[in-house]
Amino acid sequence: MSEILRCENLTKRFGQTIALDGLSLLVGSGKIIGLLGPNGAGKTTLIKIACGLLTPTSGNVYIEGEKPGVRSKSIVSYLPDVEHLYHWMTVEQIVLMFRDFYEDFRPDLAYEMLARLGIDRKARLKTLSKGNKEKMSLILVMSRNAKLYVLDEPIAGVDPATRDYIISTILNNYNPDSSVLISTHLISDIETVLDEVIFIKDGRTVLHGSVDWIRQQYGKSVDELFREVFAW
Amino acid sequence: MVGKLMKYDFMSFFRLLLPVQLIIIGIAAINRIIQIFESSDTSAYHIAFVSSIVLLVISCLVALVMTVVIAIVRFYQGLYSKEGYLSHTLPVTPAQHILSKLLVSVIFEIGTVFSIFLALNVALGGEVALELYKAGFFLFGKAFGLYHVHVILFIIELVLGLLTQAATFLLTLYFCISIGQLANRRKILLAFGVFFGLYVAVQILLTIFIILGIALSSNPGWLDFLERIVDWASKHLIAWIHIIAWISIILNAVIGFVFFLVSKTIMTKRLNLN
Repeated sequence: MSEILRCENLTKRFGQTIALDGLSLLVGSGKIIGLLGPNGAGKTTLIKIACGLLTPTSGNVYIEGEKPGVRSKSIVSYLPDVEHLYHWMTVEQIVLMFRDFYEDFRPDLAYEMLARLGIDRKARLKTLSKGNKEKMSLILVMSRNAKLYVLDEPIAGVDPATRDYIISTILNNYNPDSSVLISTHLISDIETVLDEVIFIKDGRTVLHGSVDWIRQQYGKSVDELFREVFAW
Repeated sequence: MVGKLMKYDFMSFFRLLLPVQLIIIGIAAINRIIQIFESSDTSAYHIAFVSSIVLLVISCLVALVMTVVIAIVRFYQGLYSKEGYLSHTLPVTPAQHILSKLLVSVIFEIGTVFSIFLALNVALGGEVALELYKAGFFLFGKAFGLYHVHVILFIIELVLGLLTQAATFLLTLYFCISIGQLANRRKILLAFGVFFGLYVAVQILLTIFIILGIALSSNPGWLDFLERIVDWASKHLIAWIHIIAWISIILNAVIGFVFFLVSKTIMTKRLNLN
């Protein structure tokens, strides 16, 4: 198992607030990993630092042994938890944009998935429904042959049918040699697809292990353990 | 990669600025149509003519201001708002992002000036415009006869000067926006603060230079030095103009480059999209 993501003593402060507090972790390739924690645990902050959108206060993050930069961005496929696509573009323009910038992008696959959803290539992104925008973002991210997929809350705030669609899109399209890091607090929906989980609390890793190991060790599901660890 | 970035920046500018530029030319065309009724010499004609001229002038000014405003908005939205989540995860460097935005902004500034020029041609009509061109070429010929190749050099210096001035102005705005991003809250307010802070700093520096100049005026050595410069400049006026032009171009380019470096460094080492 080769290393895809490594964080060393990562700390991020926003004024007086500590979002990450000396977090360290190692993620290998070829796995689906759940980054689990309650709201405000530091999941999004960690993801943003790994994707080069935030600068850590201290500590380091490495993607395939390199700090976030042009090379890491060419192998990481990132789905943020905000509507980030250029809303004034048409569906076709944004697909072409991804094709222009990412060598690993597969436009045929993107068009195929869009056609299955009945999304018109000529439609402007701003005219799409919230659900379709989210699906569109996911399709673009999963149409890449990336080494690391980083999905920030992909199933938050969507209906159960869309949730199923998102999970199946992830499972059917990710490169099996790569890793998928999914941040969420809706564990029961994705527990069955996860190989590993990382529990984050107050900006620190409180547990990191395989789903099978957790079930053996604690005699309960990840969801049950999560409720226990993060109980108020 | 800069070319690819420019392609998409161009698209984002185009959809916003094309209507503005078409409106200017449209107003100029309306003014031209009104001029057809010049022979009627009625008060209605005069009111319509003056109104369309005022409208044309206002729309030209608005177009110039809008070009700068859109350059600022596209820089901020594309790199520091939600769109930044996409921009900064593309496999390109911050320097390439800034360069792309800068080049496209300058191209559209030139485009707006060209649209205004075109609008004025439409409003003035063929004959008047032709007379103005003739006068322009006549003056250029006269100037060329007197100053030879220097006239062409002056034009090159003027164009370079305007381009570096425009680029440096945009880079100053990029710098202010980037500094504003260093704050955890009220980022735009800080950007405005930095802009006015820069303005005040420049005024203070100028005042210091003036005070120094006055203070040194009692020094005979300094006065002698100034006298020699004025004497040399009066004897070599053309060379003096070239020197001043190039000092201005180089100074602008250096200031712009410093602002470029600061913005690039902030995006590389201090980016905080939240």
